[in-house]
Amino acid sequence: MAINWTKDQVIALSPDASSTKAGQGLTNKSNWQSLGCDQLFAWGECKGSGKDPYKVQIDLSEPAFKCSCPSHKFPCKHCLGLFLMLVSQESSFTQTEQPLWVKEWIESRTKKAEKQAKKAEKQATEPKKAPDPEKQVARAAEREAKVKAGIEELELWLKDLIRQGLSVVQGQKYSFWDTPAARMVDAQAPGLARMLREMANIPASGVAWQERLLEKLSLLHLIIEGYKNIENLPLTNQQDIRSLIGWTQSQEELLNQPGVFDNWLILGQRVESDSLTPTLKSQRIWLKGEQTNQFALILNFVFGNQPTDTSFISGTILPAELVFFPGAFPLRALVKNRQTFTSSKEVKLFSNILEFTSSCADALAKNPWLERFPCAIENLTLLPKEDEWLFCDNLGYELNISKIYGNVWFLLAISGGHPVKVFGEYYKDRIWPLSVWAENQIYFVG
Amino acid sequence: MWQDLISTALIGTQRHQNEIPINSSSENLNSLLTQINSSNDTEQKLLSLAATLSIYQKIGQLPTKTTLNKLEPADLDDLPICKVASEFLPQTFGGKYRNAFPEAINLLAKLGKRVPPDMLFPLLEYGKVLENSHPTIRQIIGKRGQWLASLNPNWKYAQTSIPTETSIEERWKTGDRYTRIELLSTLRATNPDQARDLLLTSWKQESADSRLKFISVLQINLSINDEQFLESALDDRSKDVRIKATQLLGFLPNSKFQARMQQYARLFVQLKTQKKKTILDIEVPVITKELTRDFPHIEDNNSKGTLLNSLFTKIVPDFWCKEWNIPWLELMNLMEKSDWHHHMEQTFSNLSNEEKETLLSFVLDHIPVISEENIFLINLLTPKPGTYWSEEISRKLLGATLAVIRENEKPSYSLLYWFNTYAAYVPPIESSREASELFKPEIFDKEWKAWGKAMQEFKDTLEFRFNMFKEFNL
Repeated sequence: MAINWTKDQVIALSPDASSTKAGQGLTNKSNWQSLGCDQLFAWGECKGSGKDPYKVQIDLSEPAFKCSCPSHKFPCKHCLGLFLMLVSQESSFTQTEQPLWVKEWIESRTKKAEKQAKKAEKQATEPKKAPDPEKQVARAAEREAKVKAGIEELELWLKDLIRQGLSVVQGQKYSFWDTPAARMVDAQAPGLARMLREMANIPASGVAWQERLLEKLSLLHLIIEGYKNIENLPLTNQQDIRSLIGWTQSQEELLNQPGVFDNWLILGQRVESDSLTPTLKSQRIWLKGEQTNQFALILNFVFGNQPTDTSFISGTILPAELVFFPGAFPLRALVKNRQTFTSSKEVKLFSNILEFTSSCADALAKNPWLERFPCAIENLTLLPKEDEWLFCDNLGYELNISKIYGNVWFLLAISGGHPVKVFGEYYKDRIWPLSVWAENQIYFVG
Repeated sequence: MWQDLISTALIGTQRHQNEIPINSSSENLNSLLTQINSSNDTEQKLLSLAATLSIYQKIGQLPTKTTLNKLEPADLDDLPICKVASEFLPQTFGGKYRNAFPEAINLLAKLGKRVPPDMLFPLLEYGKVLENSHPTIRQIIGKRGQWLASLNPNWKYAQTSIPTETSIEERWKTGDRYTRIELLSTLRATNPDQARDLLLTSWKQESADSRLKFISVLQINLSINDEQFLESALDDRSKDVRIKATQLLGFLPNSKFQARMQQYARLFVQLKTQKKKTILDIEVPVITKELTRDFPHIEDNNSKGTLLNSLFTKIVPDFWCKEWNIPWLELMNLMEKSDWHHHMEQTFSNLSNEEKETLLSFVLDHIPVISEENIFLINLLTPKPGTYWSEEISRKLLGATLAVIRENEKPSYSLLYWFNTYAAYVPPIESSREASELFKPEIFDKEWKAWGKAMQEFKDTLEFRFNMFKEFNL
């Protein structure tokens, strides 16, 4: 095995809690008709309800999974069970020679990879049929005009709202926000549409809603002003504003640009349903460079029951070249080239909460629309405060934990009240812990 | 200034057109805000001021210095961790291996090790309602677990707050209820009279709820020596305590209470034959003060069923056989068909494993095949959680179980459930042999799918337990 997998790392790959439980239920040797592994692959035949056993295979280098069961979950319980067996009972994997069905899978994967490599090579060597530059310019100008008109309309709406007063929004129907949002979609400014729709919940969000709404509206105003004045802004700010409005960056073009090579520690990851479209899930994988000390965010979106990306194993080091999306404070990145995972090394985190908040301030000064920050701090201790828990650092500063975070008792159990390294997402002045390092072990606590 | 901006924004600029005063303590910010304030577009001005101020505040925000006292951390000098526990224990928190939970924690306690820290939260949560397992859970959570339990009122059961070197009387006086129950239980197991005398020292001052918990502990090593105390408890202020006292007295075959109960039975209960079927019948008596003392339930409900249940729960089974001259098993079946069957569990749970085995052996000699009719009785005679049948009983049960498979084309739920029970109480050394016996092709090759699944789960449980033993090196 390229890295020493831990049970927690395998469980972190699970799509949901029921799959984890079902996978754990398959860690009895009796569930398996055969078990085998070599340096790169593990395989097994798991008894199911059908006549024939399910053929389960894992490519340990990525990891990648394949199972003959009909489950739509990925990885399925059989893959998880096999992986957990490999971690805890490697001696049960008696076969060392790959059976035919494993060889076939490897072969098909190799063929697929070759095909993709050829395609990429072809794309790189054979210049694509260049799009008609005139048409391209015309299309861009058309969109620019649409966005400009939309933004003018939004500015009027916003000023009108301020003129009437924020008190008018209470008790308004969702259409109050959705109508201008729909206009922004028509104006090809989906980013602004999303911001408006997200504001719809604020008037009913309890104490200090006025403050929160004014803050959001003022940030929207800042985008409008920024766009009106875009030509006078530095390029990175221009890119931020255009991205906020809804212009997307071609990933293909981005991957053609030079990246940043480093040993990236995979700090943790979180999968969350979208607040506006519950069937859409976002997967945020947070990395930190060993040499560059830079944070990076790999952001993936999946619909419905589509599997999330399981190729990032929290707590391990991924030597890779990343290309960052352009902006004043580059955070989101794509993986351009990657090598095999290695076991985790010591990576420098923030020494205290003050150091972390200073870094947030630097980031906000560059991009005031940033909402979510990677928060990795040494020596945090849990403290009870009224009916909630918070972190405290060695200088005595407090860091609030998200009110809806449900794993505090687990955190307490693994830390024992002693200082521990914590990584989490910092959002709306609170941390959502995702990984904790305690007693030479990493725990996934998201 | 931020508050002024919010007020203006809330009312609306058409109704609040006064200038917003610029009064920041930062000169740079003041000059920027003054520049924005000079705009003639009121709405734009307000939004620009709000954007500038909110970003300024966000960027300049410093974390709060805490005024809270640090939490005393857990002692790091703790029991060694049993890493293997992570593999087995979570699988016994519900699901198909739930019956192996008492055995898993007993094994861990025997090893003198504690569960890994990441297992503490699920273990303490799962163990909350499993009162029988509380003493063992306390042994396997180590100092880390004790520390954690001290922070959560729901896990109070897992705390042993008083050091064992303190005298028994002192611990009884100062301990919380969980500690006192544990103390009383431990003492009851070794010196039942001392335990009862200890309880008597504070009995009258205890709350009704505590009295109920404490009197329930007397089930351990219950003897005729407890009779006087239990008789006095029949006059307790709390009805729940009185009910518990009658239950306990019912287990004393030579008590005065037992004699009174048998007297009532002769007066009120009859065995009748109706339409060629034998049934139990009862005559509802006139309620007197004496009757209410012996049947606390009767105040609320004097139906035939209540009285019959009370009598059958309290009177030794032998009495009925002698009184009516019918075989014990037949009587058991009659009882199971009556409303009394809900109480049978309670009656049998008090028997020792040896007593249960004697009865079970007797049952198996008479019913070589486990069936829908007698499965309830065998289930009632399972050993205490975390303990096993003897090899001899285990083999007899295996024979009866194989006979079920051979003689039933379609299994019922209770028969399928039986497999899980059986798999949980087979002695571990026997596990693999029993399993290989059961999984001979002539048995396993049956085509009935439902049996196949039950058998698979049964085999899995046996293997799970066997592996657990192996991994724990026991």
